[in-house]
Amino acid sequence: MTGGRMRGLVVIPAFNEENMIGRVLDEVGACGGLDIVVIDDGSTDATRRLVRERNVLCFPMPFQVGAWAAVQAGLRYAKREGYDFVVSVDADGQHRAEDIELLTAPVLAGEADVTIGACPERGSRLRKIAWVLLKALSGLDSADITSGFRVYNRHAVEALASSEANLLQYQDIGVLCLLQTQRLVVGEVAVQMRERTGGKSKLFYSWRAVSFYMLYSMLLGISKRAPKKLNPPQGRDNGKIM
Amino acid sequence: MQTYHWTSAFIGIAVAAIILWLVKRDHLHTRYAMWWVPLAIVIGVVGVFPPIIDGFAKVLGVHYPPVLVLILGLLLALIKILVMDIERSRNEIKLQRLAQRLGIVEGEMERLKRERNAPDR
Repeated sequence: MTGGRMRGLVVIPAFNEENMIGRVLDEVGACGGLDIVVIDDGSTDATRRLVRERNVLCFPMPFQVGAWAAVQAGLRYAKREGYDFVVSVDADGQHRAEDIELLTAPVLAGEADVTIGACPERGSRLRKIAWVLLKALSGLDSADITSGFRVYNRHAVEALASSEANLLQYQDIGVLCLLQTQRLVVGEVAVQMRERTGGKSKLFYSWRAVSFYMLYSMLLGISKRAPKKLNPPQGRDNGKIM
Repeated sequence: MQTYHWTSAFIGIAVAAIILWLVKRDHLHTRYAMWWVPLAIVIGVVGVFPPIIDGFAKVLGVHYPPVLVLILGLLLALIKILVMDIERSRNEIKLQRLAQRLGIVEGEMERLKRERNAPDR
């Protein structure tokens, strides 16, 4: 192929996903033209073996660092290797590989620094109420803030690979606020997501976890709220893409 | 001299001695010693000469001098804990980034080994 083609890396954080990881890897691999790396966040099941069997690059974390830090490891690698964009995909099969192209299009076209694959319908009522509250507090206007299905361009990768982004416990509020503060353009594309097969949500698995998440996110949202833009960045469309 | 004077003197000097001993034996690193040694000296001195507190209290408008000691003690403890949490946050970042780098290196090594054992045509 001629030079000038954009190089992309698919980053898949995985924790005990032996049920679906094989299928996810096969699907993403079928897309073609993208490198893949699985970040194994301290899995105790057969996840790692399944990844190795498919000859896919795997970064084993020495201890559990959390989903966001796992993705960030992939971003740091991408920054080092000079990838043009990174696609983050969940290992539980909720994200459809065929939608990757939909997400990369705005980024490759230079219309956005980050594209979020949004599926607002998937949440329970409680989750939707949480979203409304968090969005109001943090000043974010994305439709689906907890979606892990995203494409990041070089600028976004650079910003999120920094140590400033390290202690964000979750990938939503903190990351999106940081992007907003850096004046990076975040767009959204509507996608379908599959039902989670087996297993409860990693985030909302208990009331305690939910309370912690809400408290944490509210505090983060208020403190990291980006200042109101006085002048919009030159030549960029700041609106949502739906 | 009243009984409490002996008590406070004993406490003050004992605390000061323990802290200085810990620093000498390197159980307490010099960096932290810079906080604890002056504190040890102050505790020792105030323990032996409690009227110092009375003097300070008068200047600061505190009517019951012992309260000053308590407040100062709590304040210092609060500051120390806050500083410790800040330092811990910094350490957590370092640790996490170290873990990430280690994972990346191990992953690349694994791939190299694989490629060495079964090189792609």
